[in-house]
Amino acid sequence: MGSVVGRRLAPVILTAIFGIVMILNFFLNIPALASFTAEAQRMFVPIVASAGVVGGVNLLLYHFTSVSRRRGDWPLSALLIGTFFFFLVITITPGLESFYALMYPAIVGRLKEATWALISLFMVSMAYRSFKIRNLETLLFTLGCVVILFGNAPVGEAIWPGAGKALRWFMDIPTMAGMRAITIGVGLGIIAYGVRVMLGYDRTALGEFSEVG
Amino acid sequence: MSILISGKITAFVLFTLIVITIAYLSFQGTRGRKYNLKRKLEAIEAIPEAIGRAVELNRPIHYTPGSESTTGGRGTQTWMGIVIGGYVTKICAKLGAKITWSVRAEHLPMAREIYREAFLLEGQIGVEPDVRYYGAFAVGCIETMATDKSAVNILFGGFGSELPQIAEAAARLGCFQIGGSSNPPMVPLVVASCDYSLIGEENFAAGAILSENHVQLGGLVALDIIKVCFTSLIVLGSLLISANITALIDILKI
Repeated sequence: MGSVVGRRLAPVILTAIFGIVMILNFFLNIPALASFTAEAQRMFVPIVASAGVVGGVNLLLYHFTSVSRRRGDWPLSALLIGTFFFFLVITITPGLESFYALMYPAIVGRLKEATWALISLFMVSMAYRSFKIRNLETLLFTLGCVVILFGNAPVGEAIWPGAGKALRWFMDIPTMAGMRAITIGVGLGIIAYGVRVMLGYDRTALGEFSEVG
Repeated sequence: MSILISGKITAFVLFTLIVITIAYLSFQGTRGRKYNLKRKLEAIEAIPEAIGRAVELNRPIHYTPGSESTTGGRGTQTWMGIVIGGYVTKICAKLGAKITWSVRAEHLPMAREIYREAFLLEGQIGVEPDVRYYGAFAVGCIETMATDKSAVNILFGGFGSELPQIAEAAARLGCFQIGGSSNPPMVPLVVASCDYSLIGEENFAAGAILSENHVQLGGLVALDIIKVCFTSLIVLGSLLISANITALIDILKI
């Protein structure tokens, strides 16, 4: 009984209370709600920090187990444990700031940027495949892309002076209508999901997704 | 001093009506009301077929709910991605397919629990979840698909600019792809790269449809009713403003 209350009911009740108060604070001018919301948002930081510590311990336990049981990828687990402690030491040890700046932003940061740079190649490759007209949808997709390309590129205005105007119309009317439809739909979907969570009909956050109700 | 904040009164009333509609129809689901949803989503119907194909090829399925945080602006999309992942995993467990999840580190505990529970629901006890987490998320996903020789790549959830990298790499690896995003800039990229795609609120509907749970389907029916009302409101507003009548706009501004 206790475990059911602790594991299932308490998180749902807490979620509902915090959720309802925060929503009401958005619409209502009640100082008590405002101060509760501000306090709750301040509480969020230490909660996330605690979760980070739990995550770190969890991570180490998992990989220590991998190494001790010699699971298939245990050398990678050993590497992760070594890296974990290496960065932990150089981050918290006073006087090692310049070494940290060399190790993390200068190496890891640059590697990340190099990876992000690959996006442009993937985008070109994706665009090439997308421009192949296979059905009505891809035809419309391609026409849209052609309008955007010609409207934005100087050559578009050179070929047809109305290209810029056509692009603006395209962006302001059909594209805007489509985007608003998506945004409204997503907003409603988020509200529906929030209601389900606050009523306890959806408990994915507790690691459960099986049928409720 | 008014309790209601000026400019948000109509929004508050509309919001309350939306919440009541969703809560009521969901509650009806708990009371045994059956919802027969007419709406079909091709992408959702394609999932069992794609998993079946992977089983025939004896190759695994790769699933990712995206790399967005669960607490950020696109957090709800990530939650939905994890929910859909649960149902995809359940189908895999039923059809005997191998599935690998690629997640961000903070999603790992939830993803592992959901993975384990999905197999449990199909009567498979003690399955070790194949859930991998990556810091360099896109590269990790690509590496997983390449080394595992994944036959299918399914991606639903909160995605940023890593989506084109993952989806395009999967296309080059020959994966059959089903994906969805509610993030407007990512929508065309999903449509361009995936064989079947979900856009906008379809992602939120997908979990409910896959669950075949009448509580969740009740919420979906409520959303459809609300959308009809909103569309009617938009059409009415367009007609009124074209006739130079600002009454509706004035009400919405209260």
